[in-house]
Amino acid sequence: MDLKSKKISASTVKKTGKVLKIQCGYNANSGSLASFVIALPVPFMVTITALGSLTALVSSILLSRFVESTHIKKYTHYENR
Amino acid sequence: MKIGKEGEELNYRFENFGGIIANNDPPFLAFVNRDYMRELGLGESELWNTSDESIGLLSAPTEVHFSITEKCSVRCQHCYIDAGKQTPGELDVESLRRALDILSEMKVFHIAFAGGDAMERPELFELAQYARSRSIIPNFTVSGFNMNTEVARKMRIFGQVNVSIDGVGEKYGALRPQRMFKIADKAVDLLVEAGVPTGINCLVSRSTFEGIEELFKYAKAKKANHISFLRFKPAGRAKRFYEREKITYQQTIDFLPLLRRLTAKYKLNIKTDCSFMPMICYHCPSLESFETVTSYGCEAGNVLMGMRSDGQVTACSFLNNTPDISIFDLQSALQSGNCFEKIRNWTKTAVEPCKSCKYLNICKGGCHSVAEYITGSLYEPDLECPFVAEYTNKHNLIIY
Repeated sequence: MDLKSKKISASTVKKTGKVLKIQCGYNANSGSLASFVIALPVPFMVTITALGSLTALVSSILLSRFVESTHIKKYTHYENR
Repeated sequence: MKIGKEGEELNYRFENFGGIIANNDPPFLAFVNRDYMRELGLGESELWNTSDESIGLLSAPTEVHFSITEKCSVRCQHCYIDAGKQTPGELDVESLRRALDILSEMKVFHIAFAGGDAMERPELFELAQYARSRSIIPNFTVSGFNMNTEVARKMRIFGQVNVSIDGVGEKYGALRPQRMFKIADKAVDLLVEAGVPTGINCLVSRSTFEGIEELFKYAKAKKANHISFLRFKPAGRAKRFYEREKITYQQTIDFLPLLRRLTAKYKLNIKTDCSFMPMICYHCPSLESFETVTSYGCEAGNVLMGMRSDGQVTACSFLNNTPDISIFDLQSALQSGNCFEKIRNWTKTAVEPCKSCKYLNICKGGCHSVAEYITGSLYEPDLECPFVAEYTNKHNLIIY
């Protein structure tokens, strides 16, 4: 299922349905597979998508928060353990 | 199930929390709650007959390391499975197809073809095509050996192809045969030219650490879509070099700040493998920052599994002492709850300092293959974790 470039507004997403988390990309590693995504591919930052003719897969608000929260620059804030 | 204007098939599966939906362009797996599945018209699931809606143990792995041969002509000194000659018991192509059928029935979304050098099996592309036909996205890592224009074009069947390059020029040869650099370099060019999503795999060791910045420059210039950083692990032939090549305590601490600086400088996407999670957690990112992104520590036997070329499935391709299960029995073993249960539930039995670490549920003890090699038990903490190193020093613990 390929995503289309059709943009949707956050209001089209029903409030009870939530994307809990997203695993980006494919893992080509022949040794270890799971990966920690530090920086996201550019399409994630600009593509707000619809899933065919169905309800939205990812809301724009969630996606932008997701990008913000996972970009490596965000790791500049440290906490005391 | 056919959905959407173009009749494309939506690839998804149910989980206790809701479900997982696979998308290919851009590629991602979305973990969504139950209401989201309902809103998509996907119905209800028996897996929802529980009040537990947390993301924990999955019904099946999302990805499987799919080894089809142990044959390899390059024979790197650090090979994690001691590859070289073809071994007896290698599954024939019909059995490999059946294995893919089983993974498809289990709704495994991705596989990474592996070996040995999977390119030494003439059926590689046929199997990749078969995986696609069963809604599994095949991916692949190559040394560059035997790559040419025609082969590079065929590689379009894969979702992602990475070329193993640990360093540029002379730095390439720290772990691999130096003669292979030109071959790997040419392979990157051919793959990018053929329009294949191409990345670089960098095995991070004491020797290759200093060359990481140069590798960023190289990957950027070559238009690689990302670099995957993999930790040097004591498995296969690598055990012989582990003491020499394991990253130093200082390097474990410097790793994330270095990546942070270079990612910003070169505007290049990167990934690290799950075994680097302790080195990331050491810098204390907020727990919230892990919430919406799929940040994995050790997910052996849960999110990922490995299948050897003889069809035996391991919790992770680096672990030796988890009970093996035949790929042909995997589905029933998972359903009966008799499949890698100890490693899947490791956090419940974690010992200090992991037990009281606030990142326990993310990191899950670091790399258990390192623990297995050093302590003899894969259920001990990862001793290369800087937190663990500091803890053992503070308490004067003798590990060996």
